[in-house]
Amino acid sequence: MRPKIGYFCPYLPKEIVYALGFLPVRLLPRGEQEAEATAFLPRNFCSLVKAILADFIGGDDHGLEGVIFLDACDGYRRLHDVWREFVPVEVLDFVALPRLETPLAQERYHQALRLLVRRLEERFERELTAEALGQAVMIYNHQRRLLRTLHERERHGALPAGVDYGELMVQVYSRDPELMNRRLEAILEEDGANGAGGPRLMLVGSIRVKPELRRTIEELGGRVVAEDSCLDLRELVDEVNPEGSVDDILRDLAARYLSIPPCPRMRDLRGRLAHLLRADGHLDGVVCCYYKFCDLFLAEFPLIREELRKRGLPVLLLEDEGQPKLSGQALTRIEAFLEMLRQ
Amino acid sequence: MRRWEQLKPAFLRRLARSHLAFGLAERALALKHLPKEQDQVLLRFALDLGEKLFAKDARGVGANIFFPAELLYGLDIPPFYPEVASGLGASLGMAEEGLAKAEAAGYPGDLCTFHRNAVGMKLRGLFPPLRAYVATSHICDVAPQIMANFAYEDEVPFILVDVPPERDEESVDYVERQLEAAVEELCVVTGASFDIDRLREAIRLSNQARRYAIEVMELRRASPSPLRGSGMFGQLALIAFLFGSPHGVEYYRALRDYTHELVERGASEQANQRYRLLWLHLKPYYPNQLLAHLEDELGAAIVFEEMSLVWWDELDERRPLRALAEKILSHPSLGPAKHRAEVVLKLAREFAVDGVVHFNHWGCHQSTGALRIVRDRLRREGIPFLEIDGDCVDGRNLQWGPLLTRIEGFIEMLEG
Amino acid sequence: MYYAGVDVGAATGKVVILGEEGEMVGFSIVPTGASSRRAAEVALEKALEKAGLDRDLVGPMVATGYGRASVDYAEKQVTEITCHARGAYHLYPQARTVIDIGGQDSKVIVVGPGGRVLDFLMNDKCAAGTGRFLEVMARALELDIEELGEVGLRARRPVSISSTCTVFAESEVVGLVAEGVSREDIVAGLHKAIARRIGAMAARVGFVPPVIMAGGVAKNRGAVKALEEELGVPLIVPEEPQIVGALGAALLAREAGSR
Repeated sequence: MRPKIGYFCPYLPKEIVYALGFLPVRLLPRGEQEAEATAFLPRNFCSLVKAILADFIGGDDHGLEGVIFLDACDGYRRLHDVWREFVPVEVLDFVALPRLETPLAQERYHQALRLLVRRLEERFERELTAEALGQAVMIYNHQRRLLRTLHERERHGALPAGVDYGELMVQVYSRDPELMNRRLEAILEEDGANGAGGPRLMLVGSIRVKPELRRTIEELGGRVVAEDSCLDLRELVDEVNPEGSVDDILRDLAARYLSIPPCPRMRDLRGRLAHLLRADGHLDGVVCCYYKFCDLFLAEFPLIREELRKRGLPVLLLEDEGQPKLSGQALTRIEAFLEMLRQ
Repeated sequence: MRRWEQLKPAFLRRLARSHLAFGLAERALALKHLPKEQDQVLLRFALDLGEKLFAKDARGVGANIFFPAELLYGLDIPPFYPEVASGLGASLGMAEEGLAKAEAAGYPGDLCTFHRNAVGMKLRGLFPPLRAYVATSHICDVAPQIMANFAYEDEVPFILVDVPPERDEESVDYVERQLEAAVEELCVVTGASFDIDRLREAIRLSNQARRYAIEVMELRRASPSPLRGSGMFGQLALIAFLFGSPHGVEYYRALRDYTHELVERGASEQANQRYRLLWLHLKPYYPNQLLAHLEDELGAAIVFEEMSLVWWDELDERRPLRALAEKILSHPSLGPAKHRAEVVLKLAREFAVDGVVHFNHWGCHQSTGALRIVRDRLRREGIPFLEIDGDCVDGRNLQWGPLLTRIEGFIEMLEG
Repeated sequence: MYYAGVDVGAATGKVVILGEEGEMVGFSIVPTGASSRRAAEVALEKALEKAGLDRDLVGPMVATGYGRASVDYAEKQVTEITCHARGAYHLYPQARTVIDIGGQDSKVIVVGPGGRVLDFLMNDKCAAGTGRFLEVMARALELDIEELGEVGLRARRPVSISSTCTVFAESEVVGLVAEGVSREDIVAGLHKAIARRIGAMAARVGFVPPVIMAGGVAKNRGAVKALEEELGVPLIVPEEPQIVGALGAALLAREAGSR
């Protein structure tokens, strides 16, 4: 069993962690108990960050050797500040993640990744080799190919039954990748029933869309054909080149990871829209489910909604307050939205 | 009355474009109502800038408050700061209308009201025509998003300067190279020409203003505190706007002279001073009694504000863009909260304050997020710390009673 | 065959019974009290009584409203969004927007041909902009909720209420009373506050006239007038604004039944 290192953001190249002998684990809130976090973070603060802090503030390290932070947003920056002071799980690095995809930014990210590698090597007294890194790249490349196929099937409403898709994605990013690859292969071997009727929806989430939402929509007869979140479409890195020296591979990792489908932090509105509309033609509506106080998504919402509406796509906005179950009000809105789309 | 409300923005725009109006306003207002020279300078600055921004072939550029104005002045591009306009709008009682407009346009209610009101003011047609928007990515997440939205709506370029979370050699290089690219793009988009001497002049002017501003800071350490803190909350805007312009030098020199004169006489703008406070972040800009009550009724003197701090070193005019990159990267709120905590502690000591107050603006996550760390640092040194929850721009739910209780309770604590 | 729809809200439960041709043969409005389930039962009994019908003459029923999940006898549940759109359209085929201000929530629904929902927005997080807001204020002013409309219309200088939150508004009202502001002026100010709230939602969703108003607050002429001024369009208020949702539910039951 590989020792685990936690991370928060899809922009971190997991291959680096894996190649050094660790299992990269996406940290997501478990308990959704925010109360313990309010002594450290204000009440009106990203509920995802508070829930994660609440999981760790008690002293339970959840079996992690350490965590890697990225400079993703104000929420994570403050979590990092508080974490360093109060959480006994070691911060291995705070990586300077650029907000642009320009060649200059790629170079910058390359530098930052080199620094990350150096820090991890020193801390754990081991060396990152080109073979190990290349191997890791191949494993994750394979995973991404499988995931793309899975997303393709999803777009056509042809996912095999018996899979809780939301839960599956959580597992993909917290379990051994080779194991998950085999699981994905098995799932893809089955035929998916070509989705019955029902309004086709894309879900847009800040960080993630809770599995409960997906399940509820499907129980109510909606079909989720795409999910724009950090656990789903925004994790789709292009094929990384496994050849060359450690530095060569790091350079390619920096470039490929920076160009994943953008989240709002990348401040590329056109890129966002292009990405969101890729599923168009298969869509009847869009459900945006943002964490309350998630500034990045809230600020882009009006324009996104405007552009989607112009293309005839109704948009429903839900707030995620970090509770595991959907509130009665959220349920009513979802039901009403589906009724509206069904007419 | 409604009709006037609808016509007002158009009228103001017309007025702004009229040279005659500027001249008249300058003369009339400056002589009669602004006894302090620094305020006259500000009025001249505002009118001058307004003229440039609303001129027929204007080439203004919008920027976030953390973007160095020196660069824009150096290109002879008049800068426009939507966030400053938003604060000004709030103090003129225009925020309710602005926020309603932003809400109608779909901006969710949890977003910072400074930015929502800016959205509203733009929707009301109060912005000058702008050729581009430029923003730095650091400190505040919301500003670059909103600027990008504005640029998208206006179909003009949006230039983002990506600022890393901490300062080191490589970060300075990275930001410097982006500033170079920004200069190029701005010249193309506005038709401005790049003149290294003009940029150096802007740097020189910034440095001059900076020297005066630092003198003001030092003078303000006196006891009694010479200046009324409540009057100094425009400083954030001024620090954004003035540095790099000749008005900046005039303003700070006038302020320095004014403050110096008071300190010489051992006098002050505020009579009753029983406690010395350091104020962090901003204040409610809509008309309200909070600061007046603190100062006049409770005798608390706001001796200094975090936002008035001149936090950067003298700029090296031989390498202007590199100097500006360094300026950007030396902001105390960039990087770990520990850094801000140390800066706050240093100020608290230098100004010999009895307590520190932070105004928690709803929707500002970068300033309130890690306050625990600031609070703990101050507590370790035995310095009392008060947090006031509120909103800088939206005054609709201001609960005066509970607020008063908190402030008075804090003052009582300082007594003991 | 008869068709029935039941709308169980937070404040009241309503049942509407329609005949074969879609004509209304009876309806009822009862307080919900503590039990949605019981309220649904009582409302149905009363409506049947008014219509002079036996229960077994009524086909499968549709339930809507906040408490729709607890209506034992309903065959199907449909949200009050769809039901209000359908009900309002049935009454006024020219309707393009429905504004429903209920006891605990408020909604703005944009309606298309056939009563289809084109878009909607709900406010159910917060009491401001709902019937509850007026209830709280009526209590603070020692008035009956039914009086509010008339009282507000008598105002000479409506006062401006700045608080957007019910709790804060209540203390604001208490303060105004202490200052000697007349109740008429305060009530008119409260009506304006609600209107602003609803107006903001309506603007956000992009409302289109003609606008139908439903829900208990529609019986308050002062509130209706304030909303008309805010939106800049006249509002159409049905004779029985509270049963629009139940009517829509009954229509849906009839549609399903005649297949």
